[in-house]
Amino acid sequence: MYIYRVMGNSKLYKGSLNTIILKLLNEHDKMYGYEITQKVKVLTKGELAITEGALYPALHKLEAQGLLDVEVAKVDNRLRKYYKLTETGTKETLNKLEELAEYIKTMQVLVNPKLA
Amino acid sequence: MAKLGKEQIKFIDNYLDNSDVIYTDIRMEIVDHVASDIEAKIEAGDQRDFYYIFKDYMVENKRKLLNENKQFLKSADKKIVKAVLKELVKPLTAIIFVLTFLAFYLAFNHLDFKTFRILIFLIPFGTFLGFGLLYLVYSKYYGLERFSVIERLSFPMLIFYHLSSLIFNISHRTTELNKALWVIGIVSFSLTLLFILIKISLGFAKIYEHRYKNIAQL
Repeated sequence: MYIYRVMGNSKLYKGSLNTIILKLLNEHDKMYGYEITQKVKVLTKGELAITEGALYPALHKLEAQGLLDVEVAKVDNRLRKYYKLTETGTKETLNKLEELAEYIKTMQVLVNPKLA
Repeated sequence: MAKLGKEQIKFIDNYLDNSDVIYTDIRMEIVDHVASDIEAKIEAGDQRDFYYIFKDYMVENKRKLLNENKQFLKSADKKIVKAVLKELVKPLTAIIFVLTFLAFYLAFNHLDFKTFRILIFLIPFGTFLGFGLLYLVYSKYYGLERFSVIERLSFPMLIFYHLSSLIFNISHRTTELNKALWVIGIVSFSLTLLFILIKISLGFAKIYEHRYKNIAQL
């Protein structure tokens, strides 16, 4: 399992990995891989975990699409690869978040009409 | 916050290098991930010696990390395909192809057939071998690190070199112009792709040089 809810169904979260990454990078100037996995764990109080097997391919794909830029710095006796949003990446983040909000709204209507 | 020392980082790096994570750009990111995770364990109260923590970490995660290496390689291959497709639609590529085609066509018309065949063998061979040797000598001389996209570009280069080599091998039956046009077309296409791949590898070399300039400080 690559991105999973510690308890419960993980499939529902898989399609949102890119949006999660973009949203986190939108809130921080730059982040490195391990930091992203830990941030997700902290924000979801350990409910959601992203494994490196899912995170790094997603980061590389976003980089190849021109949504992320890379910066390598020497930190604590090693090289660290930081990711940050490009201008296109910032615009795409807004689109993705709007898409996600629409999706949640639609699901709300379908699943729980009283709350919608 | 607990931080691993230079020796310990080097140990992780060597371990991954010996486990076939051979490319620096890929290994570097995995080293940082492993080191960060081990540091977090120490921070959380694991008081054992680094080597015991590392050993247990690898027992648990090695398979996952090596699989991650494969994902990195796939990602490098995708970068290559994307870069080639991008280059293929550029007008310069069409110009190189046309010029190469014309040069071989003129050679076919003005030189004897034996010389023409030598040319369609020697030019792709010289280009492939020349670039390969240059890369080898340069990387050995300067002790350069191995980077994924650059080294994996050698595979498509080899394919297109073999394609032109194959055409050379069957070209002895091709004295008529209409058949020779096919030979010239395929060799020109292979040669154009070799040029494109060399151009792409030089482009990536520049990116890596800029991105990993800190590597010498380690």
